[in-house]
Amino acid sequence: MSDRTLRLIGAAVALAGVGVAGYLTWAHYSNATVVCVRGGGCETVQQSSYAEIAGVPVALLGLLSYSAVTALIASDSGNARLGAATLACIGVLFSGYLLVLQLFVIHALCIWCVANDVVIAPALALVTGLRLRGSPA
Amino acid sequence: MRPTVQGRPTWLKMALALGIGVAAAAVLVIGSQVLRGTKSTPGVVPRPVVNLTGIPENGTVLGKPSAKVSLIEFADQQCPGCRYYTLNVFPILVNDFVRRGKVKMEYQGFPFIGPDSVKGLRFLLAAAKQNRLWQLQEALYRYQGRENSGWITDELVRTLAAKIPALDVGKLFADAGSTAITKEASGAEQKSGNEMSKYVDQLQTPTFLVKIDDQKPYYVNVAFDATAFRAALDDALKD
Repeated sequence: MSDRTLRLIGAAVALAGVGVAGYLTWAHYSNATVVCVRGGGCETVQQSSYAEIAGVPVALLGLLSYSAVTALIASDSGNARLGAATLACIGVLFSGYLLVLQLFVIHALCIWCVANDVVIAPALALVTGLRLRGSPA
Repeated sequence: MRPTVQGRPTWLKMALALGIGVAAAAVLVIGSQVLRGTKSTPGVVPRPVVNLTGIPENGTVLGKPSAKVSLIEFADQQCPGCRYYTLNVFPILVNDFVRRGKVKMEYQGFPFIGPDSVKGLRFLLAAAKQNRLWQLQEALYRYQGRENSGWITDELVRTLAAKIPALDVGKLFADAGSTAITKEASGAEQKSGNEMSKYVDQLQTPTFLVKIDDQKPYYVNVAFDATAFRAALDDALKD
């Protein structure tokens, strides 16, 4: 797979992350307008004490991180690639932790969080990691 | 440090970045355990947000039976979107449309979030037997707790029901525990889900259908605000 393709995939995945984290951030602050999809759980997760760190919504941290990764992918220097991969690495590790919390501590799964934890964060870590092999455009 | 090849970061740089990444993730995890928030339940609204006195009620239907338009709501007592609609939009629609005899509202339970949803529906169906479903559902939304936290306690229901005029609390509990209502509430997810799936792809709450006279209902996909609902109902009343 060419570096250009990886870059496009990385950008698309990061933007998907911006979308999901943005939605969850909005849901966090608007509180009452969450749409419950079949399977429920989102509100339980959003209302849990783990939804915030020092008063900052975890979703907002995700939104800022994905926005930063998107900007770094757009910039695309050698250091930007390393920065994107580092942020993605933090993201995938923290997402894994959040998934464990949902499964074993909160006992509720939020489909938006799961999409992030299982698909978006690992995919972004993989793509940004693979791009470290090549040279910047 | 070894120079980069074609801009590729050195192994040392990558190892350093990985270390920073792992350390930062560890800081986040520790921060999440030590500095986690204190959110627990949505805010309680102690007083009713709408006055339903004088509006006809018949089972799950609120409003004059002769009203031309029906607004059918599929809801779950644990759903925060339903709570938002009931506390912010429902009172306006009641005053503008239902009290004036233009629109009637029909409640359909879709208890899909968990055990508290089914329990809540049991009490609503029991209240419907005394034509007080709409008062009880409004009251429960005002005290909505975290999903599946066991917030719909007998004590909460008893307290709220006692404040609803002309609702016999003893009968409410007896009916809520009856075999017929228990069966109806347990089967409501399947039944309402089948009904909703005729109109929408994604089963969610709240979902609204509009029915004009005896015509086939149609799905109303609008934002949860009074302006959007007013427009949808005005449109239906024009036909």
